Amino acid sequence: MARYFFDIENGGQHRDDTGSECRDLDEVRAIAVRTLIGIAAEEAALHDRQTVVVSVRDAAGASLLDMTLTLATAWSNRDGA
Amino acid sequence: MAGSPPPTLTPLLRKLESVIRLDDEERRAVLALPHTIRQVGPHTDVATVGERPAHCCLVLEGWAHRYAYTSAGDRQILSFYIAGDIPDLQHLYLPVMDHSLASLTACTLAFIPHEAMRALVVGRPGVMAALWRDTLVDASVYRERIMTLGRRQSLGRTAHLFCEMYMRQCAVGLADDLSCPLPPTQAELADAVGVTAVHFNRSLRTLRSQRRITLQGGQLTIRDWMGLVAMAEFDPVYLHFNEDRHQSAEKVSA
Repeated sequence: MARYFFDIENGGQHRDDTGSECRDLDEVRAIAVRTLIGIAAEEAALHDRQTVVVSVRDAAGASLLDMTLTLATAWSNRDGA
Repeated sequence: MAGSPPPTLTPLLRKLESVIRLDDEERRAVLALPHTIRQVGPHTDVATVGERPAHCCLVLEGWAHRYAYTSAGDRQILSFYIAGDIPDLQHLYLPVMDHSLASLTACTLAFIPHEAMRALVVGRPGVMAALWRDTLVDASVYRERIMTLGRRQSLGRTAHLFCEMYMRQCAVGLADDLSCPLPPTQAELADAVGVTAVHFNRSLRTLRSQRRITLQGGQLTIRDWMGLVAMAEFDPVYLHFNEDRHQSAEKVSA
């Protein structure tokens, strides 16, 4: 187990000072995916276009992973619906 | 220095009487249940999947929890239990454990033999109803949890859990003035609401910045109850507190 820090950017920046214990890099990746999807489900419903980024640092502060989720909404014929 | 008095089963009585009224004889019989006291440290398994418990485990002090793991190693905390709760009461009639039960904090637990629980209810329909109702409320809490985990997002789930744990502790005299113990770590709370600790932390920051709650040193203080209730869509009817009392008050006023 090692501690990794997951910084979030979604409009504003948030630096993770707590960190999460992860079993391995697969879990780091899984946490990044679940966090992105969870935040998008919660916060992106209000916006037509949203980009959420999770950046993971290891305990030494070295950058390990950047993951970006972009939701783009394009209505074809909203007025006629 | 005087030692602290041995723990009694009073928390169980408080819990049962939060949902149903008992008469004096029934109260005495509950308090007289034979039991063994065990002090356990944090995160100690009490019963695990597949076991056949011969005792009911009553929490006298501290917090316990039910949990399960996915095969990948992800934990879901199914529920938290506080003083007065008998988390494995259903195993009086369901012999095999279908989940694991463990302490969360250091706990004082009372183990009551199943035969004693069965003997308690013979000739005491009021106690039978109280215990039956306790397991029914447990099921009702799970229905509410399905609603929450299935249809609410992290912020609503978190607000809902805070409302529930405050109300449950209030009902048994462990909380008042919108403040209560909340000993689980952020990682544990995240595993209870089914989001990552990173996402949970974000929800917590939102609740703090909106001045709805503070959470520090295992103590939750609710700054804006109505705001938190609205965010959680929290309706305490599923906890079924004091319904008999309300009913008799209605009868009197009718």
